[in-house]
Amino acid sequence: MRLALTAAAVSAVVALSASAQAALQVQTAVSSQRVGVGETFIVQLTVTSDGQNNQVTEAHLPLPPGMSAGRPSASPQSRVSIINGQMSQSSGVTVTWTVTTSKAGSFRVGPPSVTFAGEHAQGNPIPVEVVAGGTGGGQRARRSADPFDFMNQFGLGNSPFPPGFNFKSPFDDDNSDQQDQVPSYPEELRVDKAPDPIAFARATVTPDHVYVGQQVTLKVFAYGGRGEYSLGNLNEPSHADFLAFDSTPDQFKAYLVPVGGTRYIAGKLRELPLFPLHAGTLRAGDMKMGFSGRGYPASGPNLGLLRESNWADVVVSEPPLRNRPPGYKIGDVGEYKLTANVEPREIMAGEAVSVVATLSGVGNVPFKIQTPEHQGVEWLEPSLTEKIEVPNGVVQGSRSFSYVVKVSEAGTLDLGEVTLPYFNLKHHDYSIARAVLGSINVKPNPNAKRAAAEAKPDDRLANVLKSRDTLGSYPALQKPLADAWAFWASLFLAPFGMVLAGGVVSAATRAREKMRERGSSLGAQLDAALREARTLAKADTPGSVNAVERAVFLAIELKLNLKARAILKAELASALTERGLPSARAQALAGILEDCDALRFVGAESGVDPAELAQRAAKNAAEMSRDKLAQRS
Amino acid sequence: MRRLVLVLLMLLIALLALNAGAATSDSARDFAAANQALKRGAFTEAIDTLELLADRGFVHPDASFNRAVAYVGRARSTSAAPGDLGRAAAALSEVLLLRPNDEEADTGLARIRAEISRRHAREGTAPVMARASLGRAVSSLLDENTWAKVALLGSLLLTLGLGLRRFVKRTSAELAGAVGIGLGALLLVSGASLTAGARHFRLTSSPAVIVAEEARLLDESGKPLPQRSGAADSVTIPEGATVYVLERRPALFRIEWGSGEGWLTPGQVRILATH
Repeated sequence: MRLALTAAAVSAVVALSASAQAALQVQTAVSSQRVGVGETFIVQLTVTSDGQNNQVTEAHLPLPPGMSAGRPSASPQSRVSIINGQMSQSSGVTVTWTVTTSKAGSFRVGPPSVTFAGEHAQGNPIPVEVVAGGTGGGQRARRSADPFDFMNQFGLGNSPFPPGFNFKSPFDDDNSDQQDQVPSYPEELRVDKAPDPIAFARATVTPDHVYVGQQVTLKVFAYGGRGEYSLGNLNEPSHADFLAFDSTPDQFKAYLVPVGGTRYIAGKLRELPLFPLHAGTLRAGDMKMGFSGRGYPASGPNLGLLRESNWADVVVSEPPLRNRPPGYKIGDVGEYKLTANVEPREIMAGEAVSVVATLSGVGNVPFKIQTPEHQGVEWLEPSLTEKIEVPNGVVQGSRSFSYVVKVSEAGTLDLGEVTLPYFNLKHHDYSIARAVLGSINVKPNPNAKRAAAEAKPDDRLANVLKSRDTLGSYPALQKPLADAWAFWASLFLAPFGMVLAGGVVSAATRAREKMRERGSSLGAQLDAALREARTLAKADTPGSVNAVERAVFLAIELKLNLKARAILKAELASALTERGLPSARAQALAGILEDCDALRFVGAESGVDPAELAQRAAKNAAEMSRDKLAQRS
Repeated sequence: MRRLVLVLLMLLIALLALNAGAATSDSARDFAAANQALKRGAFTEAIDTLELLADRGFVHPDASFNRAVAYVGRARSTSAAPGDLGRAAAALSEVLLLRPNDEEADTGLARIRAEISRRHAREGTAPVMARASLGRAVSSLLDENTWAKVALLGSLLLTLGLGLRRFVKRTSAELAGAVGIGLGALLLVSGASLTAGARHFRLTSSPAVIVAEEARLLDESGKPLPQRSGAADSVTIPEGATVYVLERRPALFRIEWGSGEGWLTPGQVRILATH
């Protein structure tokens, strides 16, 4: 849609006229009204009617001498629309003449006319100026393409190939000789692999690593692999992080581009010079469009085959800090020069001079330049005029800054210079564009002095801050304690450590208690008695005997829960047997006690060895602990 | 061979030291040049020089202070630019971060904020105050390291209290232990929580000041947040207000203002330099 509008706006005279028959609508268009001798231009007559019959029986284009036209081509159209449930149907035809000029002069072409569905329809006459030499408005003969009709981009009936290349359509069955004669196409259209066999759109941004303010160019291309198509439902590409200019060519130039064995009709839809506004990985692209044509299945009613281009990423960084001059504004990138003119050179104090500074160069010409600062000199906000162009896709031009500069003090005043620090892409370093303003002579003016001496009302910030002459000391950065793991460990480990220590002490105490309890038990006493008996056997026989006797009674008590001291030793064996102890053990124990008595009262003459007695007592105590008690009757 | 390596190493160290020294002397020279410009009333020139110093990473409270002086000077001149007072407030806030006891900066900041409020009032817009979120308000009562020291003191008291209660079997010691446990636990819990909070805020946000005349809060897609009915300025942050930048994207910053959040364009916010 945009393409058609652009083409119409730039190179066509479009006239809508009601035909003699009210049911017919007639539209006349021309590709260019100013062409060179030998160039061609295209005249189109589009007729639509509410009926279904779209048959053209006659087409006529009156031409002045010095112009000739080939056979017209006709593209039938039909449209069905349903609005609020009401279906309406219309049909039409676009008849195209390619007119070749051979003589300079001003001519009147047409009016074109056709007989459509049996009715005569006539367009408007078109004034055309033919000049000697090329104008760029028309096209050289046999190279023309109809800018209005994607369905007939190459100007020769239904063949998608440019005229002059006598190729058969790639969509015909026989295409055996085409490989050797593929017409050339711009390198930017070359694609190694098609993402879609029917149609696709592709966006590129070059270059892809730039500085903030450096130009990149976004290009969007359309590729259709199923023959002729028209594009509709175009959504502009997204470029929110960029300042955009438009250098899209007025005409969509279509080329045949072979991709992986398929020939695509391809062309450039958009070419937008962009200037990144900030650093980061920025994205542009995502242009949506609908391909309409016989080989392109529609995604929906009146949508065509919807496709959208990819996003293209650009890595944007700020120019380096090294060598950056004071006053540099991020985004001022390019190559500029600055000139300035000051008028008049002699004024009275309190009056003003005009300073016009012109900044010109390649790039997004900055909106602000640096002005000198002097006491008693006031630069008012400048008025801007600009002339920005995009020749060959490169943004360039100039901006003029017209300042009114008020001077309040008399004397010869050197105005200094206006400057613009910028990053020079050619030198890959910073440069400063300068324009020296020179001196002006300011004559005294007593009225102006009085005005300057007046105090500014309502200035509450006067003398609030006084600048500091030296760099003083200031407290060094304290490393945050909380960043050290040792801080958090010590914070919680200390109390937990204390709790742990308390627990350990408690446990130790409890263990000691247990040990103590264990030490006072019968088993412990038995062990102690036996140990004592063994120890004293050599040096203290009475002591050893006592210990043996005590051990025997403890062993009995431990086994039978019987305090045997109360039982006569003569009855001890039977008493123990009665309580289930094996009689042999009972006898042995009684025997040990008898030997104890013998040793105690008779002494060594009794023949009892205290060590052997202690050993026997220990052995019996140990064996008795394992003895099984008989069932008591 | 070893001698050669040693010589090369020494040369490298000397070169690095020379470079560092040159950078310091460059900064001092630029500071002096900016001072000269300030004295002759060339405020924009002084601002450009001092801003370049800041861009190069030179952080010093006196450089920030003079930057504030330059912005205030330009704001008072005929070449005042929008946001000059906000930038002056940002520079003074920076001074106070670097040198908290700088009374002149403190007073100057108060005067500048008062002037901004006065100008707003003159234009018919009431100054908007936003209270910081409770967590940030409490944790910023003291310095992060002070909270850490409080927590350490609490830990020590708790430890001593536990020790007295456990190991000393005297009534007076047990009483002292109980007091130590209670007080220590309180200090430990509060100190540790606030230290953790202050650390979290330090690591996840950067203090900043609004340097646009009015910064309207946006949503994540960059659209202005809808105004709340009856509170026209509820989503517009005034110049000079302190905010916290939570997230930085190339085109938008997520900020915390008071207890609310939103997005602003980077040009509206000046992130304060710290050490």
